[in-house]
Amino acid sequence: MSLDLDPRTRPSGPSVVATPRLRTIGRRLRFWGVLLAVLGIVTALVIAIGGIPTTGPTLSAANADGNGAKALIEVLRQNGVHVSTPTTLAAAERAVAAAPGTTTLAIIDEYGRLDRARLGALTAGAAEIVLVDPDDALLGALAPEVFEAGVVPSRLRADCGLRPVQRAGTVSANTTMYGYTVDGTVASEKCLGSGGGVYSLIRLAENGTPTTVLGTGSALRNDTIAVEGDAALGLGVFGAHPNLVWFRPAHAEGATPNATGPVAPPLPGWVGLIELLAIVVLAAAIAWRGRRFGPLVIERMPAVVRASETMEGRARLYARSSDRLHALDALRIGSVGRLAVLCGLPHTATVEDIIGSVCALTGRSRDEVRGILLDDVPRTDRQLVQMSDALVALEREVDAAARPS
Amino acid sequence: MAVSGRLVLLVAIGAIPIVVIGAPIVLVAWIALAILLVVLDLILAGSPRAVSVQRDPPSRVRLGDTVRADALVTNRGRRRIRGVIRDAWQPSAGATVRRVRVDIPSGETRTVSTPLTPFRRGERSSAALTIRSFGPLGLAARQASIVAPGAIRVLPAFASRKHLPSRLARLRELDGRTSVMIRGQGTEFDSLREYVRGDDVRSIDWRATARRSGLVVRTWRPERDRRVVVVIDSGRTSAARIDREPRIDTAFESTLLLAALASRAGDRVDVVVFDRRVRGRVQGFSGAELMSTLVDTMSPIEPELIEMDWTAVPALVRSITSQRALVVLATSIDAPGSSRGLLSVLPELARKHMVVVASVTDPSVLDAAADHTDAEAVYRAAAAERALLDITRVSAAIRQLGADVVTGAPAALPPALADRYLALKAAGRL
Repeated sequence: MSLDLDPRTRPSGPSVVATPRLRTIGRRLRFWGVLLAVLGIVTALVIAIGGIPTTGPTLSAANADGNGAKALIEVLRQNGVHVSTPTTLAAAERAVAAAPGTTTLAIIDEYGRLDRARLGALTAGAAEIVLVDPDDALLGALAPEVFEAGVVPSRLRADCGLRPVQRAGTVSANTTMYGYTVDGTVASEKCLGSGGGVYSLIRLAENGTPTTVLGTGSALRNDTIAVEGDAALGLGVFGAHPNLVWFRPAHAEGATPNATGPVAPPLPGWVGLIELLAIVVLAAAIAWRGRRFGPLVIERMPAVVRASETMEGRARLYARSSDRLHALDALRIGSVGRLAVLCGLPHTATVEDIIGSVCALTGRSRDEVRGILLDDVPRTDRQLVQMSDALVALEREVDAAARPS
Repeated sequence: MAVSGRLVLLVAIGAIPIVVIGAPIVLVAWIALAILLVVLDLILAGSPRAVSVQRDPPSRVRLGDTVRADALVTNRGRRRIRGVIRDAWQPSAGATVRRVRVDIPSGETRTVSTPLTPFRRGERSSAALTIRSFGPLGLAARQASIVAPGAIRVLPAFASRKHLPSRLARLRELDGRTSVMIRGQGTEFDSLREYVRGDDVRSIDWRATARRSGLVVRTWRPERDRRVVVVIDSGRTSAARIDREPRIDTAFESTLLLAALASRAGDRVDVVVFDRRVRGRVQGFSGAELMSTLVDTMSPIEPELIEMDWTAVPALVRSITSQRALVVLATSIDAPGSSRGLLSVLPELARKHMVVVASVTDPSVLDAAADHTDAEAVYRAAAAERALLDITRVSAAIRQLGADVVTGAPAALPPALADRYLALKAAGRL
């Protein structure tokens, strides 16, 4: 069947429909549909085979990415250190209690998930505590004499007698390292200083469990552990005891709400369903109101120019430049022309002739008329208005005087 | 496809069973029911594609008048079409009813009429007819746009035709008058009649009197078969609006009134619309044909945003007539600078023809010139005075070059031009 588009030759046949059929739309979108399907299948296959590649948590013992700490942990394990990597407080407590007195407890708590109140039980059995990049809240609980001092240069030299630091020589990292200050009255070993009483490794050995505050967490990452003395530092600090508990809390826990007010009555089961229904109703309403009734109509709009625009523009120019004399002169030229007609003078009459006639008609003094029509200079807008009013008054007067009664 | 408010209501009513029963399956079942009903409705709806549309040939309407545009819609499908039709007229066609409810049984034809009150001159069109055909439940509709080009031709308003009767009466007064008032080089001998008291004794035809018993005078009629050439400037200055009307529309009004008057007076009227090339030309028509051709030619013309080429105008006039003619130049005389082109060709035109320059003046300028209430108003008044002075200077220059000037506000210019024509005719200067 041939399709004749000219309506004149087929006045009564089926008309040309502008709206495409579903089939046509489908054909048009086929390429993109096929492309999308192929992409979807490929993505599904990749995920099914290799899993979703994601970046693991920072300094996680199981994370082999650049920001993990798997390298350090594995080397420690190979060297005979028994490493356990709990992620909950209870598991960490159990791990520490399993080998009391011979365990290094490393706490990595970058998001502040630990509850300070329950740290006592955790740290009781540890032989040594290492706080990696701790924040003020954690310091307050376990090393109240140490305070955060901000970011330090990412390359620090050994400057104390502490064995791991001495063996490391130089510690450096690609990303930021943190510095700490310590209350001077407390016995402590301060290493990896960056000037101004700021240190990145502070070891408190007084009363109770020795506690090391370590600001060089970023030097322990997989991607920097092999640089300079980072590995030596890590192995020295964490390998001092036969057991290592690498505690990195995965969730905030411990802070159980103890203050319970009156419990709100449970919502009825249909509330959620109504919400879902409301979404469907909204979608239907959008489809109802949003569907366009046929294609848009095009209209060529004419250029709209007001003829008085030039005049308005000129008026604004006068006003902006406060060109009062110029403005008044324009008014005066108009007035003089009209006065000449009123006085019955020819086109060729000079201003002096017109002034003379006006004086004769109105009886005003020559100086006064001359001032109004020629000489007065307006200094302010107020004067300008006054002078323009005087012009109008003069015109009226002449008109009245020249009109035959 | 389109859905109606009923579907929204139907889905919303689902809240009742959900609250009463409270199981998630109710929600799923309700939505499934709604979808089922929609599909059913779509299947049972009459096809909006199986429709043929016929339109009347383009009708003509004066700007400001109302016309009914009809489209005959025939249902060629097997099912009845119940729904809404939209005739997609341009906004400036001024359709007051945009959507029409229809109910067309299979095989029958209905008229969809849209009252149009166009507010812009020119060809106003509708490209398509969109049909939304609802199913028996009225939940969902099938929608299709049928290509059905329709158009109406919107002619200039010719609002000044109200001045025509009075001007024609004046024209008749000129007719048959004795030559006492109007004797001049251009008047023509008409007939002889008996002397009545008051007639000019100089018009007594003594030879005719000798053949009869009573006194006989000659009567005269205004000259006939003169040429009137109107050149309408469609350049950029004609796009400017005065009193919300573009200058070119005022020029069209003036031309129409002048043409109606002059063609009744027995003169030949030729019109060209020109800027750098001829946008419209009406030549060699007379009577009713002249008027209809004129409005048809003018209707689609819009001002072009280019400068008028006055140097080509003398040749243009020469191409129309080689006789002496009344040449009306419908343009604007705003400032000496912009009127230089006009002034440069006037001597050449005025040497051979009677030239009248018709220009619209802005009444708001006069109002502004009279307003001295505060400083800002005084600055405006100064600028207005300046503009008036410019117009006066250009007018003086035009008169000095041997042409005549007619100015007026948009509503006043057409009758003013007609009056000037009558005055010239009475004086026998055509």
